[in-house]
Amino acid sequence: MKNSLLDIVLTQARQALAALQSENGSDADRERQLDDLFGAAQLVGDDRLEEEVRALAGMIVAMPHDGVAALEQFVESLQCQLRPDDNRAVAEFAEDSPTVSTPRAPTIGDSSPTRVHRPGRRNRSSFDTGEHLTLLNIFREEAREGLERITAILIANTGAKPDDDQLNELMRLTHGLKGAAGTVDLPQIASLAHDYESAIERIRVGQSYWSLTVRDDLVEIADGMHLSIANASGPEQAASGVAGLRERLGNIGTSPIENSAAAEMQTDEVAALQVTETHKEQTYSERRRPDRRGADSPMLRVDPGRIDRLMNCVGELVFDRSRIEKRAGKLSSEVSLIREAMETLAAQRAGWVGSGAPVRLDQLGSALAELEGRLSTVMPALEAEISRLSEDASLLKRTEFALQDGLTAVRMQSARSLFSRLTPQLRAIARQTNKQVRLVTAGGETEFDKTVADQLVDPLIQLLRNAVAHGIESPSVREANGKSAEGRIMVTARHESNVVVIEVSDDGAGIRTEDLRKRFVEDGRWSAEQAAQASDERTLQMIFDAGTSSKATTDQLAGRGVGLSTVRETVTRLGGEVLVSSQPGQGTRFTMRLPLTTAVANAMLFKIGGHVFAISNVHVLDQSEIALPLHETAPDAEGRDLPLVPLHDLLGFPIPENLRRCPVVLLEFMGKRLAISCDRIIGPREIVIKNLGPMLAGISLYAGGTISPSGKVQLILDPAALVNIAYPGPPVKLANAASESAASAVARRILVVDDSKAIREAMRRMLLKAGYDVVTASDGASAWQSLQEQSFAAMVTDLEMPGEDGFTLLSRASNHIRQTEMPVLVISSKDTSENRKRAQALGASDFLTKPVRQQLLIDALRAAQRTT
Amino acid sequence: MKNVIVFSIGANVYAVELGWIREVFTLAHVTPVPHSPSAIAGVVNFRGSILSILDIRGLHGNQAVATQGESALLLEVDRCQAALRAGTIDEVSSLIADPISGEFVDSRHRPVTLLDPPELFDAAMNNRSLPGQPMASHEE
Repeated sequence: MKNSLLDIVLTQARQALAALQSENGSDADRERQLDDLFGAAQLVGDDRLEEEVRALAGMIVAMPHDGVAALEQFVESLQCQLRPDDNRAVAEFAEDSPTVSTPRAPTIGDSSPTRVHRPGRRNRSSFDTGEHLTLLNIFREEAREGLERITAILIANTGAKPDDDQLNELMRLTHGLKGAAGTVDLPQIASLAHDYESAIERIRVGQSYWSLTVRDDLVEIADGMHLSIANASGPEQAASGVAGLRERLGNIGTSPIENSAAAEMQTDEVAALQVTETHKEQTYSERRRPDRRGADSPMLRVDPGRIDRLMNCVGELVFDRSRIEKRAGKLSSEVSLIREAMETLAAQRAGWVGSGAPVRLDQLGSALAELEGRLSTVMPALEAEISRLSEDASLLKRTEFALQDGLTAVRMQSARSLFSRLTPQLRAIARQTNKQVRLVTAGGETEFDKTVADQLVDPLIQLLRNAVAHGIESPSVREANGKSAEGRIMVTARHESNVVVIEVSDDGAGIRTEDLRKRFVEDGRWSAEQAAQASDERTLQMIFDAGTSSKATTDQLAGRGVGLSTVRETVTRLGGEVLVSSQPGQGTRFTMRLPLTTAVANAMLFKIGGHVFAISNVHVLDQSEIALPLHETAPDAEGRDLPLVPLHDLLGFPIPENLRRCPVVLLEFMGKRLAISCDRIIGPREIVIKNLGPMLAGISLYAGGTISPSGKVQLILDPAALVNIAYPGPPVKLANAASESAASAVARRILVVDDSKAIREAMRRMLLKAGYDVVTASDGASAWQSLQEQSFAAMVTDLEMPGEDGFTLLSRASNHIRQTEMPVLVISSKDTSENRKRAQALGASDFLTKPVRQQLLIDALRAAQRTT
Repeated sequence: MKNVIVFSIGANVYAVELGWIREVFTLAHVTPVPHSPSAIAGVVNFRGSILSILDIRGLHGNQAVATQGESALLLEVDRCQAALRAGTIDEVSSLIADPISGEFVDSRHRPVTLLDPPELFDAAMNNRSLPGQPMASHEE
C-alpha cells in the first residue's frame, strides 16, 4: 500500500520536475504541480517525507535553480527506493501489456528529461479492498480532471488543429493518466490511455490527419474513457467499451476520407455504451436517497493552504490555553490571600471565644476593618482577572469560529468540478435524442460544501435530462420558430448572502400551464374548478409532485414523472428549495437555493420526556402553544388547522402532568405543513450532524444525531418521516412496526427466479436479511407453478434461463400480474433498451442490471411495492 | 481453548472472544432511541462518534437497557462498530469446554454463554430474537 502511494508521489515528482524544467509551462501550472506533489506526499502519511517535500517546495520557490536540482535528486532516490531494478520492472510491464513498449519519439517536451516509463505495480495482492477503493477514488478524481482538461484543449481552437504546446500538454495529460491507471491496477484503462497518447503523438508528428471528425472522435473517446473509469473497479473489470474505444483510437486520422466513414460506424458503439451508462444512472438516481450514513467515504482533495490555516488555528488554541492557565494561576494566588484573611479572622474569633470575656466593640471594629482592608486589595485584582477571563473566552470563541470556518473551507469545492461532471453526461443525453444542445456554464468559481456538491450531481443530471427531453425542441422545430438549431442549456452557480443558488435554464419550448391543468384534471388530481382557480405559478410548481409529467409518452430519458420529485426531495433534504419558472416558447428555468454546508446545521432544539431532540431549522415555520388535551390538528398563525403529530405518543413519553399548555413546532417540508408537540422548546442552535451508525440506518424517523456540549447524544428527527405520519399515504415503516404487522406472511414473501444457484442463493440471503421470506425457482415453468400455488408480495426474475425464460414467464403470468398487482423486478445482465421495453410492456415494474447489490435490490423492491 | 473477556449481567455469565473486541470502556450518558430495534438500548457518545449499544437481554425478548457507568465492549464486525453492554467485567481468561457436557465454563466453573458478534449484529439489525437459553428472570 505504502509503495503504491509512494508511486503516486514519484509520478507527481516527475511531473513537477517536467513542469519546472519546461520553458513553455505557466507559473500556475508549476505551482499546481508542486501542490499536487505535496498532496501526494501527505497521502503517504510519513511525516519525514512530507517535511522533505515541504522543504523542497520552499527551496524551489526561493532558489529555483538549486530547488530543481534537489527535486531531481529526490526523484532519483525515490526511484531507487521503490524499485532498485527498474529495468526488470519495465520488462515485466512490457510483457504484460505489449503495446506499451512502443518507442516514443524523443522530441516530446524538448527540455524535459527523458521520460522513464513508470510501470504500474503488478503486485495485486498488495491491495486489500479498502486500500484499493481509496486509491481508485483518488484516481477517479484525477482522471476526471485530466479528461476534462483534454476535452477543453481539444475544443479550444474551434476545430483548428491544436498547436504544439497544446499537443504537448495533451500528451502529458494522457501519459499521466496512463501511469496512474497502472498504479491503481486498471491495466485496460492504462492501455487505453496509452493508445490515446499514441494517437495524439501521431497527429503531432503528422502521421495522422486532423479534421473536425477527428476532434469529435477524440472528444467522444475521452467521454467514453471517463465513463469506463467511473465504472472500473478492478483489473478484471472496466472491460466495458474499452476494446471498442481502443480500436477507434487506432483508426483515428488514418485517412482523411475513410476516416469519417469509420467514425460513423464506430459512433454507434460509443453511443450504445453511453446509453447503458445513462440507464444505470437513471435507475440509480431515481431511488437513491442521499447517503446520510456515510457508508462510502469519498476522497477529499484539499488545498494545502487551507490546511495551513487550520494549523494556525491550532496554534491559536494553544496560545489561548496557556493564557487561561496563567489566569488560573493568578486567580489561585488571589484566593490564597482571601484564605489568609479568613484564617486571621478565624484565629481572632477563636481567641475571643477562648477568653470567655465579652468582646469590646472597638476590638471587633478593628478586626473587621483589617478584614475589609485585606479584601479591598484583593477585590480589584479579582475583578480584573475575571474580566480578562471573559475576554479570553471571547478570544477562544473567535478561534473556534476560525476553526469552524477553516474546516468548512476544507470541505469546500468549486462549482467547476460539479459542472465538469455534467458535460459528458449532457453529450451522452443529447446523442440519444438527436437534438443539438450546447451546455454553457457560469460561476464555476462559486464554492460550496463537497457533500452538497456530491448530492447535487444526480438532481442536476435529472434537470439536464428534462431540459433535453422536454425543453429543447428538435432542430427543425427550432428553426421553424426562428430559433437557432442548436439549443442552449445554461447552468450557473452564484452566492446570495448565505446560500448557493444554482440555476438550470434552457431556451426550449417552455411549459404551458394550460397543458398541465388539463393533465391534472385528467388524472383526477384536480377538479375542473381547482384547475380554473389555480394560479399559473401554483400550477407550475405542481410539476415537482410525484407522478407529474408534462410529456404524454414515457421515454428512456424523462417523462416518468418521478425525476422532478426526486430532485425536490434531494434539495429539500439538503435544507434547500427548488422553484421553476417558464415562458412558453422561450424556455424553462429551475432555481435551486442551497445551504453552503451541511456539516453544521441550524437546528431547532426541543425537549420531550427529559430528552433533547432536534429538527433542521430550515423546515421550521413557527412555534406556538396549544391547549391540552391534544387534538388531531393544531392551528397555525393564520388560524388554519395543520395536522398534529403528537411526539409524546410517537416517541413513547407521557405528557408531563404539570404541563398547562403544550408547545408545538410548526414545520413545512416538501410543501406540506404540520405541527409537532413537545414539552418545551429550547430554541435554535448550531449543531454538527453525525450519522447514527449502521445499526440504526434502517429507521427513517431520524436524520442523524448530534452531540451536546455536555457530551450527550441528541437525536435529529427527519421531517420527511414526520410528513409521512401527518399525511398518511404510503405508510411509514418503522423498525418496530415491521414485527407487529406480521399479520400477513404474504406481505413478505418474494419469489426469486434465476437459473444460477449462486445468484438465487445470493438474492435469497439479501432478501432474508431485509426481512423478507423467499421462495426460489430455477426456471420459468417452476416459477409459474409456484405463482399458482401461493401468493407473493413480489417476484424477482432473471431473463435468460434455459427452458422457459423470463419473457415467456412474464407473458404467461401477465394476467396474473395485472390482477394481483404484484410488482415484478427484472434482473438481467443484458441491459438493453429493447429488453427494458419488452419487460416493461409485459408488466415488469423495474429493471436492474446484474450483478445486483443488496441495497439496490431492496430499494427497488420497496419502490415497486409502494407504487403498485 | 478460546481467549475471551468474561462478563456478567445479573446472574448470567457471558463471554466474547478477544478478536472481536476493539476496546473496553465505561458508558457515558445513554440516549434511548424510540423505535430502534429491540436489542438496542440506546446510543452513546464515544469520542465524538455515535455508537449503538446492544443489550443481550434485548435479543432474548426482554427490554434492552444500559446505564451510564456500566462497562461496555466496543465490538467490530465487518467494519461496523457497536457497543455491547457488559454489566460487570469479570475477567480475561481462556474458556475451557467442560469435558462431560461440552459446555463452556469459566475459571470459577460457572457456565458461560459464548456470544458470536456477527450473529448478534445480524440479529440486532434485522430485529430478530436469538434462540438459546431463556434469560434469568431478574437482575441482582
